[in-house]
Amino acid sequence: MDRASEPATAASRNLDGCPVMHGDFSRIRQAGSHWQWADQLREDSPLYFNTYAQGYWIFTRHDAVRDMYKNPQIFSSESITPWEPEPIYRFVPTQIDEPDHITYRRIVNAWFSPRAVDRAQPEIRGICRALVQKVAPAGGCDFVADFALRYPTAMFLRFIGLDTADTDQFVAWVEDFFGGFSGDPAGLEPMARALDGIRQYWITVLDQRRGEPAPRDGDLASHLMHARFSGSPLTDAEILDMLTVLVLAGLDTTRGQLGYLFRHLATHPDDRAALIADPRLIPSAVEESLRFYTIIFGDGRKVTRDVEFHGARLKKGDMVYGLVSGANRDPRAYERAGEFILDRKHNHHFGFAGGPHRCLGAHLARREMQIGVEEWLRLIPDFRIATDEELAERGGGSMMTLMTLPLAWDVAR
Amino acid sequence: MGHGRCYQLAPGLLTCDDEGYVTIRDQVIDVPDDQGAAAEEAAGTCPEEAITLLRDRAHRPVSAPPRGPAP
Repeated sequence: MDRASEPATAASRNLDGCPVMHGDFSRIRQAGSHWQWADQLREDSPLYFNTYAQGYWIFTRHDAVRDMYKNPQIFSSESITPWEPEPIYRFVPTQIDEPDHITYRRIVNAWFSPRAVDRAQPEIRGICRALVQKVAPAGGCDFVADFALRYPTAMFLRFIGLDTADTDQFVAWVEDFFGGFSGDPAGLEPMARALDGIRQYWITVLDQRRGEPAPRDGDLASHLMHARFSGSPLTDAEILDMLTVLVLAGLDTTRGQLGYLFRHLATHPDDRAALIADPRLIPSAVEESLRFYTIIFGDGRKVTRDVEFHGARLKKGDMVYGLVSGANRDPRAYERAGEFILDRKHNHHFGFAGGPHRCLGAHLARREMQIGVEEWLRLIPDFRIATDEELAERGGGSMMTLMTLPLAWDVAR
Repeated sequence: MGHGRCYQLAPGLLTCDDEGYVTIRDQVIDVPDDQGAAAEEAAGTCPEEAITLLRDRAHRPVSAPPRGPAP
C-alpha cells in the first residue's frame, strides 16, 4: 500500500487556516538535515496539518510539545506512530494508558532506576573499556557498526541477566528490525524475521525458567515471571511484549545517540579538549547532545476527545505529532538554542520524552554514554571523521541514527 | 516523572527513591544558603517544570516544592 498516494483528509477538515504540508519523514537523508527541517518548520509555523497517510497534526514548538506530554489523558499512547493510527503491534507498557500503564511500569522501574545503574556501573565500565581496547589498535573503525550498537547491546544483556555471548545475534536482529521499521519495502521481510527471532529467543528464555519457585537473582525475565499485576501473574504475552520492547527501544536508540555525540566530538576538537581537561563536564555534554541531536524526531499520540489545543481544533481519533527535536531547539525555550553548549545550564530537554512514558532506560543510557566518552577519550583522545563523503542518517519515522560514522586516529608505534 | 535531573543536580537538597522518583512531593522544603545555586539548577532543568522556587526579597530561593502525583 502506498500511503503517500491515499487521498488526504485535509480538504474535509476545517483547519482554521493552519498551514498544510505533505511530509514523509521516513527516508534516509544527509546527516543533520532532519533537524534543519525541524528548525525550519518550527520557525515558519507552530502548527501544520500533514497530509501524509491519513493526515495528522504537527506541533513544532516547545510549549505545545510540553503540554502534549503533560496531558496523557488527552493524548493517548495507543498509537505513537501518527502515520499508523492502528498498529498491528502493542508494545507494553509503551502503548498502554493509565491506570494500567503505571501498574506495568512499577514492575520494572526499580530494575532501571538510578540506584540500579549505580550498582551496574563497574560492569558498564568493564564492557566499555574492553571494547575500546579492542578497537584502539586498529587506528580506525565504523563507530556506528563497531562500537555504538555493540556496547549497549552487550551491556543490556548483562543488565538483564543474560549471556553476552548472544550479543552478535541481537546486533543482527536490531539492525534488521530497524532497517524495515522506517518503511523501506526491501526491509520488511528481514524486519519480520528479526521480530520473530527475538520473540523465539524470549520464548526459550521463559521456558527455561518456567516453574522455578523463586526469581533468579539479576534475571529480568525471571523477575517478570514472578511479578504481579494487581495481584495476578503477568501473562506470557505481556512478558514477551515487555521484553521485546526493551530490546527494540533500548539498543538502537543508544546506538543512534552515541553516533551523533561522537560525530560532534570528532568535529569539535575544542570540546574534546575541554572534556579531557575536566571530565566532570561529560554528563553535561551528554545532556546537550540529547537536546541538540535529539534522535526522537517527533513523538505521536492519539487524541481521546474533541479539544482545542494550541490553535488546533482536534477531534477524537486524530493523530498528532509533537516535533520533539524541534522543541528541543526552540529559541523560545532555550538561550542560544542553535548552539551546542558543553556546559549548558537549565537543560530541561525532552530527549527522553516527558510525562509518564518518559524513557525507562534514561538512567542506563545516560551512564552508558558518560562512560563511553570517558573510556574512549582515555585511549583515543584525538580522532577525526575518516571520509570526505557526506554522512547519511536514517529517517525520523523511527529513531534517528547515522548510517555509518567512519573514524580514524593515530596509533603510537 | 522520574527524569532524575533534580536530585542528580542538587544531591545535597533532593534524593530519590528506589524507583528513581524524587522523594518529596507536594511539600515545601527550605533551601539552605549553600544550596541556592543547586536549587536554581534543579528547578530550571526539570522537563516537567515540577519545581517552583519561592524567593526572598533578595531573589534568593528559600524553599522549593516539587509538584506532581505520587506514582
